[in-house]
Amino acid sequence: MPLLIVLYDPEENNRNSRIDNYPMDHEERHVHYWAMRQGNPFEGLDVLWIDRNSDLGTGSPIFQNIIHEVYTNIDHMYIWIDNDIFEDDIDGWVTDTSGAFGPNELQMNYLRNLTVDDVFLAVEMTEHAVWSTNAFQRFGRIVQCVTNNIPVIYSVPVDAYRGHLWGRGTYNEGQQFWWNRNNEELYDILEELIRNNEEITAETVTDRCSFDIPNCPGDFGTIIYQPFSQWARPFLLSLWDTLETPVSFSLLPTTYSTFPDQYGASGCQLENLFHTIEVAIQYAQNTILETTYNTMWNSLKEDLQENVGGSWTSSRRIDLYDQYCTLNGFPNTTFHAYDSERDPYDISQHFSLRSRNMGVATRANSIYAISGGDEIQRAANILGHLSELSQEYGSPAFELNTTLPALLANRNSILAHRLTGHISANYNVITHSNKNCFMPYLDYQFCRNDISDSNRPNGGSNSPYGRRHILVAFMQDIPSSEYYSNRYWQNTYSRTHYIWNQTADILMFSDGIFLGKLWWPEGVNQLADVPQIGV
Amino acid sequence: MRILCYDLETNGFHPSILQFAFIGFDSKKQERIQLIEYVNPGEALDRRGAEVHGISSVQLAGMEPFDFYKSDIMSLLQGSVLIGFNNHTFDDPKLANQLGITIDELNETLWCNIDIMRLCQRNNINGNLESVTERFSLQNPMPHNAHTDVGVTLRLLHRLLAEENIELPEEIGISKVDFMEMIEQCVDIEDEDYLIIERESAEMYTSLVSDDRVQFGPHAGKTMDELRELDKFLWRQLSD
Repeated sequence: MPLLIVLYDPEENNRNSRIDNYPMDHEERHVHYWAMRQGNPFEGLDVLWIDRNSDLGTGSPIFQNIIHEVYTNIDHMYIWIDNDIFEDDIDGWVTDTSGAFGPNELQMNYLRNLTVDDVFLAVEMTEHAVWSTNAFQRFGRIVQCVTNNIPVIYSVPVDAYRGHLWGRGTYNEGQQFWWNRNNEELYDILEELIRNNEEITAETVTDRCSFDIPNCPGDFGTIIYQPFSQWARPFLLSLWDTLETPVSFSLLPTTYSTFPDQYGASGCQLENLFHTIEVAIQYAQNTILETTYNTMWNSLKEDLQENVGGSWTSSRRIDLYDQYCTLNGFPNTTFHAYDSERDPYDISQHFSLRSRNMGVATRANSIYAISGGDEIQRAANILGHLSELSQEYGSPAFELNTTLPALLANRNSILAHRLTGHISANYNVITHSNKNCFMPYLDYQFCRNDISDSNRPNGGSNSPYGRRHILVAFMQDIPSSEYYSNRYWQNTYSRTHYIWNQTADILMFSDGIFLGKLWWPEGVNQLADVPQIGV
Repeated sequence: MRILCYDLETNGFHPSILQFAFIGFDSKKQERIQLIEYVNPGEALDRRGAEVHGISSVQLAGMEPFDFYKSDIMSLLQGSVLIGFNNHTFDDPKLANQLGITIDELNETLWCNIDIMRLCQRNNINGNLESVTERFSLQNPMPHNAHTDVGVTLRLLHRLLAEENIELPEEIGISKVDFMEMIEQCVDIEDEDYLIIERESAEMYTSLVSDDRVQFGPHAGKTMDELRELDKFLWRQLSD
């Protein structure tokens, strides 16, 4: 009997309030767990719900092959197994936390051998609107999947209402005030709506609530409407076109920070998401034609593109991007401001993406034009810029140690992406990955070859060697020996940056500048072997 | 004589134990000892701690509480030479707390209690477990896992004694050679996972393609024909 494996994010089960953990084992799991709500695509299937980090008591993660590549917590990954290896043990739904799943050695080895190639779909689910750092930092997870050719659906609210002084879903004082009010009345209402498969809207909740919800008196400020982010769709389109793997949104209803987290949509409001998952499962089952599967994805892409509009890409994708920046004297900016009177020569229209200003403390990204008549001069110029950047952040100056590969030295510009470190107690680049979202966007959308390919209007060449710029991962305050130690990669923040570090052309640390993996000679397995270009 | 090396992973700086590992050898019974378990702390996990040890609450959900193992651990401790790294400061108080006894009562249970970190400090070898092991060409294949922490601690002690960097405390009451043989019964000293092995250096290429093979990056060693299938753009660049 075939089996569907759902690898879930362990945080799904960390529900300490209201239901005392483990929603997927709860007697009302079709209420408490989004994937089990009415209309879900898993009914009638044999399904193993298993924590993606599970070690099943062996001391090492069972899905090591997968989480080595997709190492942060995307909510779901799906694997379809056609053979009968689990036939006698799994009938219907089985969850790893219920104690009902105890694989034998053969089954364990089978699970251990699964790789990202076996994953046919990933789903990221959040009730946080796509304007907050919390929603943006999820893009890193999505890039990890798409880079590994796993199609992705990002399920996120279409827009949001939030308290002026507080966000959405962060369990802060303002939210808890509402969520706990009248002995958790809102929880009761939302659960009842989900139980009855009725829509969760401001009206349906207000009708049932004994107090007024919309206004936030006192310390909690007023309510603010927040539309969908203008960056989100173009970013997914650029991922899709560049990495040639489907990735799209499935929109959830409007979200309200007064409504308790995890209860943002009834099953009837998840129909589109459930349908997409169902089609992907059927394709994995081999019960539908490839054209049906492709039609579904094409339709999602058309919706994305239509919403973004043709002018977005045609007016922004400038193959002379590097030249404009050079003519501007190359300010430390990363992107053009959007405006009907857009003038790329106007420095005031440049801004550093997701940074409050261009000051040293808050700036995440920096760009430099490369000059020089030959490779030796250009290598010296590159090192000069990076040395200057290093000193700007209180690190030492560097001198050229060895020449650069010609393909690298002859590129047009440097995009330096600051991934770590802080020099202000109030600002820390590494707390959320949102600052790290836009440099890859710039990389994929604007700064690669094949930019004029009309078949892929949102992205450039899939090859990282197709860059027209040098991508530098600036690891401020991190010495090279720390970066290359096992211990460094045990840290969650380090892992969220892995996708950028691994694809960088150059890595800059507090004690040296090194070539990235893309340029290492064969056989490098220790720091001493990594070519150091700046000392 | 029984030696028993141990380590704990705890819930941040809370006293609750999430994982323990006891590895040792009983010379009288000629028996290797290994008791390694994850423990359900019955409380929410400290987020910062979880980032260090990587243990999740889901992982611990099906595990027994520490109390379940209390009597087994007390039996093991009885008359043992207890060994740890920084255990006098970090692990011993937490272990005693969870066993419901005082530090003095813990030490009265033991033959003696050795903290390798303190032995090192007396000989001007300073640093945490990771830095000291690295200095002696050892590594922990899974840092912040109690099992491998004990593995690397035992190997470190063996190396420190073999290279005469520290003296074996007299209170143990056996010779250094006998003691090292007991460690060899606990763990495979030659296990390459724990050794930092000097390897031949990789040489920087002088040309991006040599003998029709790519010399750099993830495609190093591939022929140009193979590269054409893997990365057409790079293939075109290198062909030019």
